[in-house]
Amino acid sequence: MKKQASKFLFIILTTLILISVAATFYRYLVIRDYETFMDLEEEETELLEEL
Amino acid sequence: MNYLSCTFEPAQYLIISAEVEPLIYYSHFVAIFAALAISLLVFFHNPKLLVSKLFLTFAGVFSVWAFLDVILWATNDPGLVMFSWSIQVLAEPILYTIAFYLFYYFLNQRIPSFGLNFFVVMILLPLVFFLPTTLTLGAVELSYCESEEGPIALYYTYFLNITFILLIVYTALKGIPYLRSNSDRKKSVLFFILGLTIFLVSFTIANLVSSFTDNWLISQYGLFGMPIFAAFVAYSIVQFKAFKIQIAGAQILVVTLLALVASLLVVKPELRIPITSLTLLFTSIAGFFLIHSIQKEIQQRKEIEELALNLESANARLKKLDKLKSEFVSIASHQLRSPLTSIRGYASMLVDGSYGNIPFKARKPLERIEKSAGMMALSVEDFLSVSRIESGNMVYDCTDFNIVGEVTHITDDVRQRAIKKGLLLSMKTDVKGQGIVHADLRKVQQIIHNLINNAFKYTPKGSITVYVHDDLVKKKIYVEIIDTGIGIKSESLRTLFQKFSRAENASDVNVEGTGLGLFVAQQMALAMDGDITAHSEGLGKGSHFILQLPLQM
Repeated sequence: MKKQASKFLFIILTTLILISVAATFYRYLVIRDYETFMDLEEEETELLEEL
Repeated sequence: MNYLSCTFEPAQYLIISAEVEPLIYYSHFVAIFAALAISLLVFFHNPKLLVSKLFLTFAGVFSVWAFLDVILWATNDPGLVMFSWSIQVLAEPILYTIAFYLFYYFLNQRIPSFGLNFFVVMILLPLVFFLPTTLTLGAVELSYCESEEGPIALYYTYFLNITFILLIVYTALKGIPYLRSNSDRKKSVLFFILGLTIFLVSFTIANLVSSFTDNWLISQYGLFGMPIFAAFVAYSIVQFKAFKIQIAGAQILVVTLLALVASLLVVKPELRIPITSLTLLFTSIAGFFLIHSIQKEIQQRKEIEELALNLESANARLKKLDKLKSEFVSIASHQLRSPLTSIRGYASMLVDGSYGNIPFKARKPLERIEKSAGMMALSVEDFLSVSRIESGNMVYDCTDFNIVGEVTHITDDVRQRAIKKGLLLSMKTDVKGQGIVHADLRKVQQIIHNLINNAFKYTPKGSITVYVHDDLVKKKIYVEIIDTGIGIKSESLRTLFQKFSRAENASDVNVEGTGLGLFVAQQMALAMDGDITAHSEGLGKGSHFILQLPLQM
């Protein structure tokens, strides 16, 4: 009985993981909903070092 | 849809990019290959084992993590960076979860309790729910193509990893002391822990340091723990019983040499001298130990050969002694038989009045003499039978006869005895064929008498059933003697048909005997292509003997 309950628990977890992965895929690769920025300070420091 | 890319060249086929150092490909793909190859070998060795499935799942999740890492190094697509990094954040604690279950099951041979499983699922749920949110990953920085890690990625995943490491340590401390010392099982568990520790320590520390210092090159060194762990697990699961340190040592030496030498193709020139020095040092040490162990093995082999020769001559002496013993028993039994025949004969004639009336007082002692001589004669017959069987001189005069008829006659003969003892004796038949067997009639009668007599001896009250049935497909006939007697312990069942073996509870019903009856009966049945088997539910639950013989069709 408890073995079946554990099995059920892991099936639920696996399903939620798959849903989460799908949501992540949709957000970042389909609708591309993320912010971007350029770390100009670090780039300037690198340029200065090269000079 | 247009999106901003990172400020370097796009990757080809997701993972190939000039921006990526060759050492990164080397470290990642060696680890992936080692993990998958070894786990697949273990899985196909025995696909039904849960531990093999867990190990394969572990290797699969690790391979996904490592492949995503290569994508992260190579890609200039911010969306792909966010997705791959998120999945990595998810995969890492799951890897530790599976490592915990793998170790738990390997040690305890069962899955954890429902309570613990529930706890594991509950602590993983926040990670799963918040995976696609900014709590896991924030914005992408386009010059390095790196993502900002949120509190889930930065702190919660390491909390999970540490929790599972502590669970592994707790499981080990709880379970290992109860394993028998010096057993193969304990050694294989310790071996497993050593491999797991090497992997978890190298993987955890490398990722932690990378995460906090932002130097992601460091994390790749943690991957080298995986091939070591995979090899340790493979040995623990598959080969530990046949584990030979010399073979393992040679395998490890060859693989490590290959890995070190191959790495020279991809490392920076300044690293070549240290790697070559390391290879030289390692080869010297490993080579020295291998040669030493091979010399030791040669020495042991010589000793074993000497022992084998001594054993052979001891065996020859034992066989000779055994033969002499059998001959002695045979001669002694023959010498005893003649006087016994006289004692029985004359005692019987005296009791019958062949030599006139005997005083009333003398009747009982004479009957005792006759009975005792009869029992002694039976014992002598048993010894003689054993002697003939062991020396291969037992003669079988096989003819065709109807076994059902013989069993019926024997059952009728003992019916009076059953009534006298207050036992219910019944016979059932379910014979579809003719019931003809090709066997020695006298020997078969002796076997059935022996089994029925045993049933009488060990059944103080209740019933004895004689059941004859056949199986025309298997071409066998079965004579089953089922009693409601004192029963037989399962440990006694294993030794019941050995010489001088008697049930431990035989004295409960005051039964005397040599312990040779069943041995002789089974040997005779086997010689006629049959067999006798015994079954019992346990003490006080009766017993069930089955004689099977081949049918003559």
